[in-house]
Amino acid sequence: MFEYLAMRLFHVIDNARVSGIRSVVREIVYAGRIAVPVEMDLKSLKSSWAWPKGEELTCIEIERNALDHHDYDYPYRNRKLKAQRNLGKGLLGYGLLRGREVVADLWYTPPVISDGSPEHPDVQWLGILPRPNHSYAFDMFLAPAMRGKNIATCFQGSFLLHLRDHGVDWAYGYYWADNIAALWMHRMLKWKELGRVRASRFFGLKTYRRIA
Amino acid sequence: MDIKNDIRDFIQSDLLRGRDVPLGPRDSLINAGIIDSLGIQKLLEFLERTFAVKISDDEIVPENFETIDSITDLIEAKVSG
Repeated sequence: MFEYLAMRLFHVIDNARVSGIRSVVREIVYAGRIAVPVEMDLKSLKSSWAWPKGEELTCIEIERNALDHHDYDYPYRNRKLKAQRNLGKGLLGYGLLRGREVVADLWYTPPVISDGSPEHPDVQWLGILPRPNHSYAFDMFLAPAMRGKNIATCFQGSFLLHLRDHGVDWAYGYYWADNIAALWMHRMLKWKELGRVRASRFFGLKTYRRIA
Repeated sequence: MDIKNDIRDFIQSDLLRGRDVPLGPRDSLINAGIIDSLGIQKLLEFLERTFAVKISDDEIVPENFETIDSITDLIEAKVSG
């Protein structure tokens, strides 16, 4: 419980610092926000991405031991706490290192083993139905210093190749329609859109309705 | 109003920010890394403000923003329609 509260507190502090308090409030309280669930057949992926020149970047699978031993570290406390919490719940993380610093990460469920495997809570409100060898990806973060360099699309493209190379056939995710950066990245990568879900949230209470 | 020149000027001044990149009307802005997830936001704000048009979510696709020509076609269709 304490771990969760600390993570939420640092999340608010870090996000307010990076994106402003309005962005933080919009995450906690919103009405009629449109989510776009997406899916991708990973067999249709292109095989490589042209990373921007001049940056020494390495993609990694985020590991609990490496985090605990400070083999690499996060520039934002909330992302590290979130990483530790996600790993503790059995979720998997894909990261981008610049030197020893994790400048981007993205989380995903282990591939569904059978139709009865546990699911991420988002799956229900998004109306996604993962099947064996499917995975749900969520909560991508790119450090502000790395934005505007065409890195987000390369990072997520690289992540999808990583999934495919580890036996995942199909990936799911979602983005908010009012997040133009996310919309652009998903369309650049040719995710298939699965309609629209109108969602409202007041602190912990969330309602949702499929509208298309 | 010269839509194509205005778009080219904006890309050179605000997206390239002085970088010396040759920019023909049919050169891919996406492959050149000029329009990424941050660049598209700046470009949309510029287009909607300058040409008094509204670009819908459905129109924000790579084909419409691949080149200066394709962006010009999109805006001209909106201005004339």
